[in-house]
Amino acid sequence: MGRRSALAAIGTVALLAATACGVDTADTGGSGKGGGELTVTVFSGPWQDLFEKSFVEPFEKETGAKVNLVPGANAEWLTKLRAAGGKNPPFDLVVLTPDAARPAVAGKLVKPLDTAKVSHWADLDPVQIEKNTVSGSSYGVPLTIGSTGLLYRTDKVGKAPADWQDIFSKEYCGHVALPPLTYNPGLEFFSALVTGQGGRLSNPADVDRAFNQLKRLKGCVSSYPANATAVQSAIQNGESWVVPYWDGRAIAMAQAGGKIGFTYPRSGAVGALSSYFVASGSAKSDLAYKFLGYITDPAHQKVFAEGNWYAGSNTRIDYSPAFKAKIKYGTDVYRKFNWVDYNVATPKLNEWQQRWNEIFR
Amino acid sequence: MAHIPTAGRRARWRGAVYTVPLLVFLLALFVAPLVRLLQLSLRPVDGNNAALPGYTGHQYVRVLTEPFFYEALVRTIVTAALVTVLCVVLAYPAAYALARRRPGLVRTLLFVVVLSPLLTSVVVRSYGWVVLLGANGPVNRTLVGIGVLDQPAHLLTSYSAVVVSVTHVLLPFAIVPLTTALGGLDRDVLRASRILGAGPVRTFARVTVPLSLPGALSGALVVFALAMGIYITPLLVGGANQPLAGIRVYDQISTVFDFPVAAALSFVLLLITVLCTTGLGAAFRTWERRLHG
Repeated sequence: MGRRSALAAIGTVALLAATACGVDTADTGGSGKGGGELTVTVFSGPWQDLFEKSFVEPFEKETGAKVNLVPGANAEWLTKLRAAGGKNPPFDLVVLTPDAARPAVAGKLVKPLDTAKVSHWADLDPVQIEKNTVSGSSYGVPLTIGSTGLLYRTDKVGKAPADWQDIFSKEYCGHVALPPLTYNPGLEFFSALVTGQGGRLSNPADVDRAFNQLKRLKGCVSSYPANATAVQSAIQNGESWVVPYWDGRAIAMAQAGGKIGFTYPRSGAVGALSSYFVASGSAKSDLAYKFLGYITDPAHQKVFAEGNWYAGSNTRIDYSPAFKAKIKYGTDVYRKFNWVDYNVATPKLNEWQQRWNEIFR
Repeated sequence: MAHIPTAGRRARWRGAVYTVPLLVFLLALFVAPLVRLLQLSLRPVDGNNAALPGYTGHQYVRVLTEPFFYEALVRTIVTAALVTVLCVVLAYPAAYALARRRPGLVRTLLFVVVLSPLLTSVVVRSYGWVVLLGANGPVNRTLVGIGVLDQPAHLLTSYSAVVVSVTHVLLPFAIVPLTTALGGLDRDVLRASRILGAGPVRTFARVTVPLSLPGALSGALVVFALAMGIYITPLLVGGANQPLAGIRVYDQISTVFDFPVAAALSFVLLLITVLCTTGLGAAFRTWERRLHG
């Protein structure tokens, strides 16, 4: 009897362990009531809520298919795609920013797109398409584009910043929030310092010059936020008055009642892009392409873009007057953006972050 | 007489069988992933930091030779040691008060106060510190209000803020075992010390502390091990420029996407933690042998 009980306990634990091991890699497919199931990643928070409202709800209603959302961020999805190695991936569509897209494409964790199958492809912005093109193949379907500029507190700052160099102004000294290079706005700001005056990230002399500029901020930094929440709390509680940050988030904070202004720096804001990729090994390609057709639809993108304050990739969206007044968008605008060269930046990131630490520790 | 050893063997086997579910659980969900992580730490990487087949010690060489990593390891050890000392020192009066009080409502309330931080998310507790130490937080407002400061200080980005907040987060782990140890002290021994002429301070230093040292050591080991790997609190309170190993691991995974070097750094951190805690335990056992002969 005792032996039987023990064996039962072992069996139960083994079953539980096997079930637990299967969670991440299980095929979430199977047929939904209408047209099957699709697993799609989304950035957590309000982004997810708007995504559901803008794309998932109409897609499910019109196709009868079911979309399972996986909230999170780049790193965890990349980890899981690497673990899957192109076979039975845990999701069919994955949203990535360019820093994570680069290793995903190089590792063949995402498939080249059959652009003929993507509805509205011809209407998508060419700059955003080009940013997702590697060796002549398109990999990502761009969804939204934003840019990093300077967010500031309108009630604390006498003169609004106009260009990146204004962050070194004495007026802001002691009240600057400086994200580290390991947080996207930090690297985007650093890239702007390097490229804003004609330099290149791949040129060590240009990088040295940018670090020498950063030294001028020593003693002027009041916080080092490493995530969106930290940026927002540093600004909202008055700890910091100026921070390199994304336009969409800044405008959203202002719309929520914050005394927030945003400057697109004269020498060029830094582009930030979110795109959807089809995971290698996904057995739901047809359904995935069908969903990508909803993601690129101007009517659906308009809802998402105006809710997030980030412009959509479809050039045919007719934005509201409020959106047009606050957000700079359009192919010509994107062409003038500085873009971080992640091929250079990612391998150098540890070394640069160490130099950054030596200045600000 | 022959049936007794057989029964003893059966009992022993039964006891061993009862541990099997736990062993299976640990093997499947702790040891196996750890082995995979060790394997990952030995992988070479390509230009995109993706792990390649084969084995190399390169990631460990990087961890031990690049200042970005080894300086963080040194700072982590120093911080963990400092936090451990602070936790044990601060835990003594609280644990002493808890242990001496008779069971009742007040003791229960005190326990709730001491343990309540453990029932709250570490993220919430850390944000509590962000609010407290912010430019418009109560600490700055008080210091400015009473004229100590002309304008709010940047408390949030300081290393001191990290040490204070981590100490707060880990303090309950020192108080609980110390309370148990102090509660188990024989009151007659303390009384004997006083009868023999020792004052309260001497009794505390020469009798209470040595007898409660096992509890203090248990607390210290737990606090030290947790402080070695902590990253959420330093990240939220001190910012990402705090050169701590936990934050470096987080950076390598979430930003650089270099999982092998993150795994190597984690293993070096684990090894240092095991060596330090084992060393501390061995030192205590040596001291105890000398004390008791």
